[in-house]
Amino acid sequence: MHRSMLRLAITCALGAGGMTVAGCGNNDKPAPEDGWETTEFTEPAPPDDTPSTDEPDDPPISNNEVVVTDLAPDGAACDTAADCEGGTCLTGPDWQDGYCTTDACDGSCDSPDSGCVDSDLGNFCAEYCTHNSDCRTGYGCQSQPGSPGRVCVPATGLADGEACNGNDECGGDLCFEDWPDGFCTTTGCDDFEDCNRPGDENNKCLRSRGGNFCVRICTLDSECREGYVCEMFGNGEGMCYPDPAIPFDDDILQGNPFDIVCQPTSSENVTIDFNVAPDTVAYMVTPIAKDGRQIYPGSIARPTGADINFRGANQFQSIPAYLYGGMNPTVVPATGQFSDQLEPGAHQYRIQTDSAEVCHYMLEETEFGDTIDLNIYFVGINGLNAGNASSHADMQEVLTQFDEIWGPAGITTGKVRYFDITGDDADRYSVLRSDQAVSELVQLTKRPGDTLDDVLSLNIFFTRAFAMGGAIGISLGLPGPAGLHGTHGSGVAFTAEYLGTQAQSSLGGQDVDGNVFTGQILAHEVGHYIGLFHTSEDRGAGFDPLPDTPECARISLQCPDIDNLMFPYAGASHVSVTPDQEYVVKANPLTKLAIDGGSQ
Amino acid sequence: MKRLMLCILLSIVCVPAYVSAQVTPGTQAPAPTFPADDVRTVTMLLSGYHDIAPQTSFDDVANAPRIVTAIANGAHSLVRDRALAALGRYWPSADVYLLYANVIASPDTAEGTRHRVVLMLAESFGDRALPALRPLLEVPDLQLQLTAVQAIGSIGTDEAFDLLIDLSRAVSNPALLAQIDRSARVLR
Repeated sequence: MHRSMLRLAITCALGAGGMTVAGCGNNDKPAPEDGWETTEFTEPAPPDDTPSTDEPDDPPISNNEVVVTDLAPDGAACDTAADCEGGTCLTGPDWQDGYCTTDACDGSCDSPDSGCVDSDLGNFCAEYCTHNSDCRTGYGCQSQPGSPGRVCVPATGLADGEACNGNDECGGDLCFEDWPDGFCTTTGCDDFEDCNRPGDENNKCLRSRGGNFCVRICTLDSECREGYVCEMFGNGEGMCYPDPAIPFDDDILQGNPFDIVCQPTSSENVTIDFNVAPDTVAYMVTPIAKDGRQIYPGSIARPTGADINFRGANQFQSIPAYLYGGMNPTVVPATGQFSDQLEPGAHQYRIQTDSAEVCHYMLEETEFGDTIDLNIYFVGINGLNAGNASSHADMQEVLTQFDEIWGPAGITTGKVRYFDITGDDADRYSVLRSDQAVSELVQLTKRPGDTLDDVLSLNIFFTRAFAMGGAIGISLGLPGPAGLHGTHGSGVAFTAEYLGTQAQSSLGGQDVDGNVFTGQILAHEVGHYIGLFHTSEDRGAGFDPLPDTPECARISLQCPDIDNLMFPYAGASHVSVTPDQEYVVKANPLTKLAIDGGSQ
Repeated sequence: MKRLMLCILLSIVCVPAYVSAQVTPGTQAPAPTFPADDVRTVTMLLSGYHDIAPQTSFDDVANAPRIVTAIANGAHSLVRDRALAALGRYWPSADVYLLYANVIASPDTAEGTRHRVVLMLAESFGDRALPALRPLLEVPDLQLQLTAVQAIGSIGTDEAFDLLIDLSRAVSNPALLAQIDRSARVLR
């Protein structure tokens, strides 16, 4: 049943509960005892000031002449049918102050200001409108079946922004049924006054290229219903919009050289069972919400009964899910001081999620690695592409710098593959302008081969420029999901704009080689992707969990960690790596053991 | 006069609010001298991998705004882009507006710098940036067009929205249309 039909049916049915209806349609007019009470006006009584035709000096009135009366038009307030030009007054709880109408219309109404509304309980004429503000209190301007234009009808139904199962339930004219739990809206709005907001809900009209519709305004995600996030508009307010959680396609989860096990969920508390082999020295277990919805890591129960607590000592290991959503790559042991958290045997990873299906995969290593394979993608860079990169002096100098930074920690680049992003994708992502664009870009990655050695490689994007405030590089993992390609967390991206340049470090500073600087950015972002945090954040906002990296509560030139590679500010001398950082990198399965100059 | 010449150079409609501003964009004042440690500290605060430092960090340095301004007005350096961003974010003024307009128009500006400044112009000055941004919708450089679309969309006014809708009727490039779809939105 269409929304308006249902609404009228409900309205008329309410007659038994006190509504008096003067004309809820007459073709199939039920008897009053069925809940309908009809007062039909058949002959308007002349108003008191209507001149009498008996008066000799009055001009004769022909049957074709229009008699001007003060009877109320369709849509106007009324007490009885006698008040209405159309001969019917709808009254009752929903029809606030009464509603004049002409019932039994057949496709059109006598008045050019009225539209004929189809109803399974009888057609009736309703006042045309453009905006809610055109209608009286208690009425909204809505599309109705049969009427060529929007008409004023009782403002019943759910407010815009509320959950719905169909159009029938909404006070506006549409339910976005493909939005989480449905979303009532009013289409064709011009401003917030057109939106259905019976309780003064904070709704506004969104103008967009695809058409205008009403949305719920917010400033925080927590103000939106489940399944929605507050998408900010940059002026301090945003709209509740479906969580753009990116589902993991079967193409990504299937065909990998490691098993990805999926299980349906029956509640928000999910337990993932996995085993750790006796000869494992480190492993990464990655829970994945297949529909991309948020994961909240709880703990890992170890065979001895002890927990790895992600809301306690290991809280830092829940940050990937917080930052990137949908998955939480978890390395055990995360750092050297947690080496006792490595145990062989049966484990249980406890998470919370609203996802209907949760998957996970395990990567174990029997020896710590020393080599990182790279898949380097070029996005619209002049003069540098996959065809010439292996002999491109600037590119090779960048890789040399990377090795010089990580070399003292015993880590080097292994196999390096080169790829080009071309066509429309290159148009879209040559200049990165938003986090969303970075996320979309790394989803373009493909498995570089079929073997475990092939897929255990790190995706790097060199883009023509970054236009994201002050950022020059972004890692989409902390750590990222090793071996998994094509996801929104499958790589790092940074600007190539410094390649081949010489520039002063700053005002009157020394010249800096752009290739060296780019190599430093690469080394820093790879550090994040492998699992390293900044040693210190601004204003003491946080420190990495490693015991041997100094902390700096107030960023300055005197910070004891200023020369560390993972200090949040770049500098020519900021390249050192501590033994604990080396441990983190080597424990990650992306760092493999080199064999004969290659990697396994 | 200099301001008038700049307006002609940029083919922009000058913003009345800034007409009386006593600025001399494009001119190089003698480089002021600052304590070396202050310059080093400000340089570091502009050197973040992921963003510039919060404004409170600059507050700890004497003359930080002047040092940032000197870096932004100076020769190309690793942190010039970030200095430009910091000016608009923390200390927006008529001078900064004209500096931005000058940077966008200058043929010597590095490509990445121009993109950043186009977005910063909208972020820092809102609808006052429209006169300077509007001409960028018609440049032959697709990437600059894309950046201008995002910048104008971020302003979020009816005038900005209408500009993008008009553009959508005149272009066919899929990337440009996709950017317009993402950017042309306004709440009323």
